[in-house]
Amino acid sequence: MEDYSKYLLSGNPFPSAAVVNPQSDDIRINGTIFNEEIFREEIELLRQKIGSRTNMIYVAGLKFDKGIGKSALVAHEWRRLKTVQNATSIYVRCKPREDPADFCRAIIREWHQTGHLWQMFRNVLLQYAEEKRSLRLSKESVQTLFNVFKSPPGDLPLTLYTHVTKASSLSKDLVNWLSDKLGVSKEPISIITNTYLTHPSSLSEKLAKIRINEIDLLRNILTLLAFSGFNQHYFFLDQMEDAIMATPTSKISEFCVAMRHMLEACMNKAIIIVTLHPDSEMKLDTQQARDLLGLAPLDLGHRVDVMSMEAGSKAAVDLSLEYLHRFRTSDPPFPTFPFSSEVIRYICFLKDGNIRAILQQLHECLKIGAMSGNLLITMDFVLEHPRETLGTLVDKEQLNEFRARLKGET
Amino acid sequence: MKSLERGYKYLPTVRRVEYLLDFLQAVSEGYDRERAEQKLAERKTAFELEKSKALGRGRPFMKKLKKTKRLREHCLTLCTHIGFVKGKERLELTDEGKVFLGLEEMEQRNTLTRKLLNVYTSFTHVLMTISKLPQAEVVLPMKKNNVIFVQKATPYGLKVGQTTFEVVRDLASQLDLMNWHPVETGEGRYEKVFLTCKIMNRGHVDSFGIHQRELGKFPKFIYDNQEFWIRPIQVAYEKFKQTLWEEYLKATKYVPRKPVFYSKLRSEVCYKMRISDRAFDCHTRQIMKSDKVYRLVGSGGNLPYSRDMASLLKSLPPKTERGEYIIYLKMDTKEGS
Repeated sequence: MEDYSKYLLSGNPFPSAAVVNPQSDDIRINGTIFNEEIFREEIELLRQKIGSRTNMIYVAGLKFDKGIGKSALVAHEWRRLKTVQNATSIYVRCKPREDPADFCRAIIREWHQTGHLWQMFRNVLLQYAEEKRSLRLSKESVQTLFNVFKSPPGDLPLTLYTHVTKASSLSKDLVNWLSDKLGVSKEPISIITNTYLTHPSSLSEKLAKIRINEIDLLRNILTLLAFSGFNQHYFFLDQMEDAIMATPTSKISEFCVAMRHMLEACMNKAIIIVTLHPDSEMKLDTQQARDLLGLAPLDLGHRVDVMSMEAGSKAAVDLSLEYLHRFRTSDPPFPTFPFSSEVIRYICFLKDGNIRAILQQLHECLKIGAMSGNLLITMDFVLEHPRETLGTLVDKEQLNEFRARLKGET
Repeated sequence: MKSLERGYKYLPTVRRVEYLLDFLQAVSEGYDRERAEQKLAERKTAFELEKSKALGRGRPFMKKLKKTKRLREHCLTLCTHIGFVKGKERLELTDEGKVFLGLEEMEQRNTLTRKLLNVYTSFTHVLMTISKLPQAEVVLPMKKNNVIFVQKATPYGLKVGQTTFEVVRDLASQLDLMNWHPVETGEGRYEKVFLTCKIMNRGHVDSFGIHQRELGKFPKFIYDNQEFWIRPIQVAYEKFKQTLWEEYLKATKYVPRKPVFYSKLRSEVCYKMRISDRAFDCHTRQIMKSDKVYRLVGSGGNLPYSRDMASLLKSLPPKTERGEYIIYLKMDTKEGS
């Protein structure tokens, strides 16, 4: 078992598998450790496009694209936008063979899980009660009901708080009222109202079972959310490249038509931010994808290219500090302790600036240091144990090139 | 082309310089047929493995790769013809062969160019014929059919069969004398083959004012009792950058940073500038490393599975210094980024 206490660390700060999962509790992989300076240009551009309400933003990988920080950037912005008033920010990790209908279903599920749909339902029901002024469903009783159930319960004891005897009748009236008032489609909305008036927490399972036009459902929910005060939405579709790459070329057209419908449903209400890598971008850059690209072309107005760190960059040291800082148990003798900054930059050089590879190698390096009982992880230590710390033997030419580069800086 | 012409030698089917080098190496280590064939099989497998790793193509495990008897025989014929190997029962390297193996890559290319041009009439004939055409290029069918090939080649003045032409094309491409890329036509897949060198006679040398010492650097050969020199087309770095940027923008419909296939852009630029793939790779590497005006980056990936250039060894992209294959290129001006 490794002991990191001698390094004044509560554990190994670097992830062994640096794959961003915003839903994880592990701060090493959930994207909360983030160095804005590395992505300064990209963040600026992304925020500019979000600010100008670009309908769809492609966050495209640029150099040896796996692990350069696309997902970390997306997760960072998703987290930031979660704090925006009257808005929702949804993160969805796309999977191979998924299509836009699956993305919509995932977004709705996320809204349900984050409580946005429940909050929306509360506001809708309150307005309904206020307008109808029915003795069976007073505004006060609705308020009390939702004060007690701040999140969707397994069963909603409607009769305990109101004089409504049949949830299905209320659901029908509510749907008719919403349809008249907002022009929403009755069928998709009734799924929400029926479920939320009876077994609210089961909405996800219900959505998974029923056959429905998910894009249409998303469109109607967006209208209801706007009605209940949520005016702006941000959908982060991370790893969309996986879904695109797994879609057969013959089905790309179908995929893009559905994406266009999704974009149309989101018009003026939501911004879709997706990640792409060159393979998937090429797959989209064809005639079959014209339905999507007609609305959201892969042009400079819609794309943010993520640059990778320069090999051997100083930025790797700043990034490492972010991780080390979160795990410090007390003040270190020098900021990068136990690493010398040269080691961090050498790893960055060897990994060609690929953030994922750098973090994983730092994890290994620190682990070996901890196991060996070495107090400092210097270039001497690394070069003495290259198999364990670097995973390779030392290429002397590369090492000389690295050293010459550092020398050139001074 | 008369095969009965005095001293005429049939060009053996050795399509890669690496095979020749491997064979010479095998001879230098004490020739053994089995060992030589094994060496060639290893090379063929290595090529397929590279394609597989770089492009997601190649068939490194097919049994055919082990069958290299004919290739060994062709290598032996080639090496004997050009005077690098001697002996019948016990093969050994000639002095020239020994020197050749010890040369730097560029010198090896020049020596081999000189040898091929002076030994194989068909090699010289193809080069000279193309050089006399208006654009110094030919467009010929790729599909294996010698009858149709000859029908299409004859109007250009080419008097060789399809296999010989392809061997010349492949070797000359590696020696920076020619370059080529496939083109789709109404009649199927064709190849556009063009020269990436200037063929100079004494008159050209005099008019260009080339000094005798400089002339010695260029491979020389005799054709129709006249002296000729081969001079590779070289482009200035600045001109290359500008052309690359223009062709890149054309390929991306003027959207900087959009990915384009490395091999496709390479074909376009090489054709426009009449340079070899090697020259393209060398210049792009330099821009990628550091350039004041442009930002050029490479990216990994796979070529789409269609009947394109991807299955050809020629499409094998270069690697970065750290061993990553460059499948895509993305470019922008530093000003614009």
